[in-house]
Amino acid sequence: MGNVSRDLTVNQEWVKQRFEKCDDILKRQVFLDDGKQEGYLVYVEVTVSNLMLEEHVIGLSDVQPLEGYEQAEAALLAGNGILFLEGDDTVYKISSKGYPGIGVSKAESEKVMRGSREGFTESEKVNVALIRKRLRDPRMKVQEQTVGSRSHTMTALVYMEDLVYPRLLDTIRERMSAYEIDGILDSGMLEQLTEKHWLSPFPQFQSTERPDRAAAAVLEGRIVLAVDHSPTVLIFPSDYNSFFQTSDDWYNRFEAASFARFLRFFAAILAMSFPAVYVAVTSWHTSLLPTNLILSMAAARQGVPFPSLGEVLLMEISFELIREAGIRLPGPIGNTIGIVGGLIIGQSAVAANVVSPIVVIVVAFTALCSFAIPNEEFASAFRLLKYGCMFMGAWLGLYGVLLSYLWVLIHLSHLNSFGIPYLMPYVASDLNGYEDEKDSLLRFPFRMLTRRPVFARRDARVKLRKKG
Amino acid sequence: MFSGNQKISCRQLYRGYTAGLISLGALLAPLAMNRENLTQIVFALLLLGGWLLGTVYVPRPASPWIRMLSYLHYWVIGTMAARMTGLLIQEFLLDGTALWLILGWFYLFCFYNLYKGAECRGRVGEILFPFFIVLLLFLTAMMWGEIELERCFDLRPSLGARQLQAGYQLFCWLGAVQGLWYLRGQTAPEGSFKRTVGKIWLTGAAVILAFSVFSYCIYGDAGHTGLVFPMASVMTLAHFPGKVVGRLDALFVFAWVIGLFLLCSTLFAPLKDGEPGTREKYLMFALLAASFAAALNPACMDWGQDFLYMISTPLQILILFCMGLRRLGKGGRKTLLAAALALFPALLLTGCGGQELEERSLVMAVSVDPGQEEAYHLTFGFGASEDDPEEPFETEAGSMQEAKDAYYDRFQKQMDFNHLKNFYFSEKILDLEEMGPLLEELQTDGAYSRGTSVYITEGAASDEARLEEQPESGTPLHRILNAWYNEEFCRIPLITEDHLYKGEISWPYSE
Repeated sequence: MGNVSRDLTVNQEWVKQRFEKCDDILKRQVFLDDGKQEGYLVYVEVTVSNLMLEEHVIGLSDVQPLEGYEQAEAALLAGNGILFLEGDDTVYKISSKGYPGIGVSKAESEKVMRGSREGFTESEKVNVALIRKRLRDPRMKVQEQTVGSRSHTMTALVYMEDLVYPRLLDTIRERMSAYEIDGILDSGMLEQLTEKHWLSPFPQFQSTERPDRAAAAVLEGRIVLAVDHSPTVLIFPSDYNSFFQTSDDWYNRFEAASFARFLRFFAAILAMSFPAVYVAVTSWHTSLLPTNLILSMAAARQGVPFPSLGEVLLMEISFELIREAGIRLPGPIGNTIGIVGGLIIGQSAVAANVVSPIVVIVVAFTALCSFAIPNEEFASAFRLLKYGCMFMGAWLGLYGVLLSYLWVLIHLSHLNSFGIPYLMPYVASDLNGYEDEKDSLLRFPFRMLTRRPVFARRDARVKLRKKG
Repeated sequence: MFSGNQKISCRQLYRGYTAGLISLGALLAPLAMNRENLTQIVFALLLLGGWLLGTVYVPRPASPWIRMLSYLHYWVIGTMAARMTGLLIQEFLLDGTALWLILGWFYLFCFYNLYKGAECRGRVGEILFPFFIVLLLFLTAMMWGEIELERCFDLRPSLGARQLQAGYQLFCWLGAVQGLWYLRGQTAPEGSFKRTVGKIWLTGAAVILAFSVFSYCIYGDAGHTGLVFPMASVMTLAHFPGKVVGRLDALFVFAWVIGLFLLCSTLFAPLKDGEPGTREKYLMFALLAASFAAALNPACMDWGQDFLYMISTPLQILILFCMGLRRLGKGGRKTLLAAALALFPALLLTGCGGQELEERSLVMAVSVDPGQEEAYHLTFGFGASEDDPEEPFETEAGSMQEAKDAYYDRFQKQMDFNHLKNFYFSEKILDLEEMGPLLEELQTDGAYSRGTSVYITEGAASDEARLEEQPESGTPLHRILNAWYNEEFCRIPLITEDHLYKGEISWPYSE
């Protein structure tokens, strides 16, 4: 777009052409130094305080010189004021509060029993500040970059300079610049663009709404990618294990944390396969169940017109509908419809002999299991795979279920997140001397977690040592 | 950053190959298990140990021809192992489902695992191993109430050509882990390769021996009679105390499915470092499709075993030997040659299992009549040419072995039962207590073909054994043994004193 001209009228002309029919962008002629110096101020309405501009103009503001129209435009659209001066080929950015947004509030998801309640906001700047608030170290670097040819969405890479592998930074920059997109409206869009295995149902970025979780990731040598307008930041590299961790795992005692972790892992397996096992056992392997149970199950199925696969499918889809409806409806109604829908549909279906009572138990238990997985995106993968698993179970019994597990396992074994094997530390944990296993299925006592995970640089993995 | 180097960690190597070795060994070793055959299992494991020891010192072959021969060897074992897996699944999980469907899925997933490359395959093995071990341990725990430890005292060593031969055959199967050789230099850290191979052998050998003894403690000598896989069949006995759940065989069979899946994945894997290229993937698909077609044919097990015992394993040994010689250098070769020359006369002195034809007597028929003082009156009819007829041998003995020893003492010849056509049991002996020990001996001694016909005689059975023309329409021996051990009945043809058939009688119970 070229360099800024010394001639103010040329600059004014450029602004008028560039922002023609942009009524939200205000342009004002200003005079400084007792009217000796003529200037031209441009800003987005609402983002810059009018009071500040009228009374102090630039005296009390944070001013930063910029070069060229391109930088000027970016600064303006980011919510700052820009000032052109007559006879000066530099344009000045007057920092301001930026666009309005929701302030810092409680994290809606990833709730914890113990630990900070703070959640990320929709402003990238605030989100970075929330991480900085927790890590007051100059080695924590923040590198901003705009993405989107029309949205000019501001993104920030947050990392610890001495912990992160430089190649990781290069990789993410390469991937971010590999596509030209008109607009990035949420971190989810950027996530899908920069994932290597984009057909996989499993996420390769960890997402979080919690600043303490992001700060912990930075301390592990990982990189946080904050995207403007998104209250969810992305963390990479990620592995299977990190999707099962919650913030309070490290705040609670190790026994309780380990138990919770174990439960989550178990829940993930059941979320994918419990209905399939039910179908397989009732259709193929009745010998696995004790006689009394199989007799009562047979009695409960008396009069049910569908095969067991049919009734499980029916209930599962009903449940997904209730869930979907609950999300879209306003808060109190959403909660209500979940309970009422579940109860009414379940009970009515049993009363009408459409499904057997045991299926309601199976579906409800599976739903509980899927909710026990802390990361929603990750849980969705299991919820989707459940259907494939069910069909395989109905077709080939437990052999089919085993094949489904094998598919998932082989797929996950091949998956990696920015070069880190996805199944770390259950595979290849020798890369970090088997240290990562101490914080995986079980969480070892805090004093034993002396090393950072494999994400951090090899020479900077010690994180805890006793003084003296 | 960490992926994509296509190196296999030593833990992955250990887990993948140990699972393969255990799953195959724990299925096959108990098949041979009786009070004497522990020797052959130990022999097989020692042979395997020797082989693996060789592979850690001898560089892997670089020649594409040798690699091709080795791949063929693994492909054959893999095909047989896949068929075994299919049969196991059919037997314990999907009764009534077509084998092609079961194997089709199995092969599809094998291909998927191979398609993703060595690194992925290693990780899959690493993850599945704990599940495999937990299932085996769980099975052992659930079966603990069924075993009779005092049976261990019946075990005894038995050295003989038959034991060595059977041991060699078992080694041929266990040689499924010979592919370890081709992973030399592909593991990280490379220095731990030797130790890892040693660990694989130690763990595998210990578990196979333990499962063999375990199986013997459950079945005794009857373990391998009429059962597809004794260790797998034993799963039907597994149960939780208090019958909290039903039969657990459908669960425990997963241990073998997992183990054999990992084994087949390593056997069908290309013998090269890194991820296979597109052409190799197509080739791999074709090879797996061919293996699938072969595995559907029941005869593949016979062909495969013949190929394995007589061609591919000796070739593998030869390759290892030659490569070892090359590594030894000139001085080493001379030393080895000197040692071989020194050992050669000793080998001649000790002799081996082979025997000249003239030193054998081909038994065509055996008759059993009641003898005196709990002994049998045994008559052995021999096949012979018209020019050199051989008189039947009659003796009173407490067992078949005693009779064989007596024959050898008298004629300095071994009785060869490889061509045995018929057994004749006198009607009078059927209800005697001595029948039990005799059947047990017939079952446990692999010398007698399970297909040998059995007849009952009204008069003296010895008359029938003397006949030159032997009939071939009796009840197969394995049916008699099954009926005896499973407490069922079977029908056996009855022959009168006039050598005429008089219908069939039901034994040991009436219908």
